[in-house]
Amino acid sequence: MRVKTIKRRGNFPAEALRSAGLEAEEKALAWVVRHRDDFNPLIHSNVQRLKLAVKAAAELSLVCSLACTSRRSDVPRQVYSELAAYIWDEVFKNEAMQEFLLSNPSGLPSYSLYVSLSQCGYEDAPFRKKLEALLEDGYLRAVECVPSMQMDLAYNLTLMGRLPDDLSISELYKQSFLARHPSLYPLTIADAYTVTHTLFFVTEFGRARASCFSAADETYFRVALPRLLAYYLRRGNWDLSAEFLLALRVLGLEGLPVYQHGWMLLFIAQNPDGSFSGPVTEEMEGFGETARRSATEADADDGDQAWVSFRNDYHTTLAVLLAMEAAL
Amino acid sequence: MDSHPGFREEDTAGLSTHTLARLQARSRDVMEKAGLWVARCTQERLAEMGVQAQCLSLFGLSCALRASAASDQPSEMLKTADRVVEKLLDDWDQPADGLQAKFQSGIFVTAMMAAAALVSDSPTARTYRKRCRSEWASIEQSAELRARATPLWTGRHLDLVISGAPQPLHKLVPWPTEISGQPMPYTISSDGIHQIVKEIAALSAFGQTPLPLSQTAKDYLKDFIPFWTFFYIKENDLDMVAPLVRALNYLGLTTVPEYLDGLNFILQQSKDDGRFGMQEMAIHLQSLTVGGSVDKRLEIYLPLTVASLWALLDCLYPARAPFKLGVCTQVV
Repeated sequence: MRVKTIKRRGNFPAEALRSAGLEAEEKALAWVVRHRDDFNPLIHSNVQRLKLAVKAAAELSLVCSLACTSRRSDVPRQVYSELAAYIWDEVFKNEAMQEFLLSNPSGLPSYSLYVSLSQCGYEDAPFRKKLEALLEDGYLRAVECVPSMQMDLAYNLTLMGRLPDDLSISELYKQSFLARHPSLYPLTIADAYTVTHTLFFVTEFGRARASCFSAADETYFRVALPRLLAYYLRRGNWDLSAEFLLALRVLGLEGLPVYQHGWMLLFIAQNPDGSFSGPVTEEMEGFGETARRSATEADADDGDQAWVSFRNDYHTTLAVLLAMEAAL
Repeated sequence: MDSHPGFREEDTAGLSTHTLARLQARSRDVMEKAGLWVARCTQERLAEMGVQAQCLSLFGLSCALRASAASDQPSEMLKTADRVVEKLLDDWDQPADGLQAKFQSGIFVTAMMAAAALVSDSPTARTYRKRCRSEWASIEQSAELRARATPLWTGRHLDLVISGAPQPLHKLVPWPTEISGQPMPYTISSDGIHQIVKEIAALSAFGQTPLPLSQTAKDYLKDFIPFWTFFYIKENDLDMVAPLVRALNYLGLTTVPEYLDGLNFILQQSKDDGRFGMQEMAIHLQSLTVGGSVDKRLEIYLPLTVASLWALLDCLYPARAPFKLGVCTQVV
């Protein structure tokens, strides 16, 4: 897919909202810095926490990479650079970590963690060669996965300069769930993430104009995406709200009233410690409000409130930071 | 759901003739089965039903009967309706539990809806209507009711319908409403939305007059009634969708995709035994966690079935809608 890199300036709807956004960004970033160690898989003795932290580290690296390469003049570059340095020095450079990444290649952190950090200026030639060898081995391309996950790989390979000739984000888009313009009523939470991630990768997180969208696609996006943002705002699902705010932004739909409303609600929802609460009741999807209130599920981690807070809130906090980086 | 939001062919006259005919064809059997379910449930449980449930049942039966051709009205529904009216009249003067007491304590809307919608012209039906009007007259000027503008104007309209008056006798004076506050659409409670629907019904005389609201208030409704309809269809919440579809109808927003989506959604919630239901697994979970104390038939399925019958009647059989002025069969 030929993309034209476009210069986007921040387009926050109003000055007051922009001010609130800068303040919220600062507080959210401060929360990430305070919880830096939780993003480090190597400090966790519990396997589930370790695996979650690998994913979290990769996601933090992505946010750092987009911030470090941002055209925004007022992005807190120093803070993001220091976070990237932490992940590089304390996580990635560890031999056990590198072995873990290379032996779990179908888990996307294998590529995204390294590629994101390389966008921040870091390079590890031997590791890169191993990633390239993994690709040549053929296993990664053989694994069955949905177009949006293949797009994740294609996006990272593009940044590495190693996108194979027979892999195209444009072609993957045409096979994707989103390209079928699905009805919004049966759309599950997993589907919603598929929609947002597809848009992120096709537009390179808003840094490129996608040439593969047809007029019908754009008509569908103009109706479906604001509706979905509104839906998740009303559900109080800040994670998907942030992703849909970013989705509207990458498609140039930030002029819609729901975009402003969304940011206003997110700023109100921000926790005093700077984090944004993750959606903890979405596993009750389909059971209605009454069931969500009355049914409970035991949580094996219940005793460790600090970890539970991190586990529940880190992704949403990162998602909001990502959306803010594009909005401000 | 058979179509995507935003991609339906626009029809400036509302639902196209073809679409309306198709929905009516689907609804006939559904509404008759629902009416028969209400009749059966009422016959079995009448002795333990409170007056509110009796009025609700009566209203539901009337909606189902109105959807049928006059020559085709199931006798079981007609007989059950008569039986309910008789019981309401027999218990009229019961302290606390009778309808007279309910009127005096400000709980009268369902009773008057039932009176306005009644299709029977039997002596007991006439008596019921007459008594409702009389009770209404005794409370209309009360200070308590005047402080509650939405039920006051709803009552006034229903009284006119019962009387058979062809047009409004008094000019509606707009009042401070939930609508005029334009609450944040993403955080408003479901009760708040229910209140807005009641206000739309009262302000528009159930869709017969333009809303006496500012343009910003009208724009607010135009934006967010469809959104809420979408939201609650997606949540499979029939309890919210049915009144919201009526609200779309009253507002004349019958070309928005959510209107047709809502009607289709309501029809799809019809169960084999005729009742309307929703979120069955959630109801099951709820019955386990609250110790099985919920009376599903009377507290869940009866209200849902009646709400669905009303929405379908209003939207698919507008000429037979229950609260149109001037079409009540009996002038009282």
